Amino acid sequence: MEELMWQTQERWFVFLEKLETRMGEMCTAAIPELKEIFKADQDPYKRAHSRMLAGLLGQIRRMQDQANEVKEDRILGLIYSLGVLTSNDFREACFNRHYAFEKRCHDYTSLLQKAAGQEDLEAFYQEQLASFALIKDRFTCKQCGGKITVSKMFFIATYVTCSYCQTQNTFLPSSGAQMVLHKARSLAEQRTAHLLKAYEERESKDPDLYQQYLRAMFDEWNKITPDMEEENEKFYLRLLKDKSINHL
Amino acid sequence: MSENQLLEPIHGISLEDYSAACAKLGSGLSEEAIAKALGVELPVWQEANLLWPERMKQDQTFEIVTLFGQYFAQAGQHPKFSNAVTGAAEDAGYTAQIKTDKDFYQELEVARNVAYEYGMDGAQWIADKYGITLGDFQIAASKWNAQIHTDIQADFQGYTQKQDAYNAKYRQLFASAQGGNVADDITF
Repeated sequence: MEELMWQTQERWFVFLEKLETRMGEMCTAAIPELKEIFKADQDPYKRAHSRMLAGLLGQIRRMQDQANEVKEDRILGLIYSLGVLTSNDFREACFNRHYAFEKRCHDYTSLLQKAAGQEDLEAFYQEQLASFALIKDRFTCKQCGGKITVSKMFFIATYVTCSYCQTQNTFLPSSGAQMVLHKARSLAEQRTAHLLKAYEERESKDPDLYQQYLRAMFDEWNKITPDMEEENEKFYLRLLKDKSINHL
Repeated sequence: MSENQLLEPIHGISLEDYSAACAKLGSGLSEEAIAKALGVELPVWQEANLLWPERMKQDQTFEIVTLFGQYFAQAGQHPKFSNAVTGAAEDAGYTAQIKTDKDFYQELEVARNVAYEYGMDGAQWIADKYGITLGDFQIAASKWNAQIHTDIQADFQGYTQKQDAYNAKYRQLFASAQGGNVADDITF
């Protein structure tokens, strides 16, 4: 009986080690490619990168499934069949090894998720501002042909009135400019990440620090999309209210 | 009648209009066609499209989001979109089936998620294989979600067994198509 437990434990350890080795090989090979795809992907939503990442994480989950099935059949199966004769050492060693395997899966998952880093939204935003500066004086009225200067960056289709004949022209922003609207909050969050970190790192959560972060984040957000300030402020009040309930 | 002021139409576009428009966008209708169907110009539609989600964010009662889901599921009956052409035959074949056959929807929902786990675009896989657009899939999701929630409460085990069977089926399908899983050769 001792021999059976010892052999099972050995096989369990070897099995998990093989899975860990394979997981490591897969991640080591995939990370440079994951970074490259993220960098090269022109899609604003980075869907090619997301799909590759999802596929890799799916393979880690399959390995976890494999380990769980073996644990159920071979480890727990043996424990149930031996009943009170199961040694505590065997039980503890097998469970601890599985815990270590799960931790390894978690570590590799984080590694893959963080591999590509964050998109540099500041660079993207500055690029859009520069592009807008180049085109803002290049429009003409559809009615009289008069020159129209678009006074500020718009993110959705907008009416612009001709100063000569008062005709309403429809200004259609570039797809890049439209994306600014969708990325504005994330950019504001990137700019104020240090304040959120200061709040999260405190053991006892300080509502003042959270409010300081939230205010700064919304100020940045409003700077990026000033036309949305009124709506953003209503959302700010709601978040503040939700958080103050959570801090009670 | 609700007293929630956040439910007031935006530039004449009601929440029902907006929800149906979102469903149609997901089915491939262009923004220009949406604006035309609603009888407004593009800037008006785009501003409403910007402001309705803002209202949802502000609404602490979640009434707007709840109603949005209901109206989204009924997009097919919205009179303003009855003549709008999406480029695909509506509510025929699999598109009709997913809205009338709960099991079919549940199976494809699992298939879609498993496809993503194998690095594929699950929504595109469904569009390619069954001709069901993302918008129609979301309409079916809105229609069935509440009932599935009730089913889970009534028979959790039955629900789980069915999900496990679908998962096993599609994992095998997608893994086979990719030559197996990375660690299939490792055994105990």
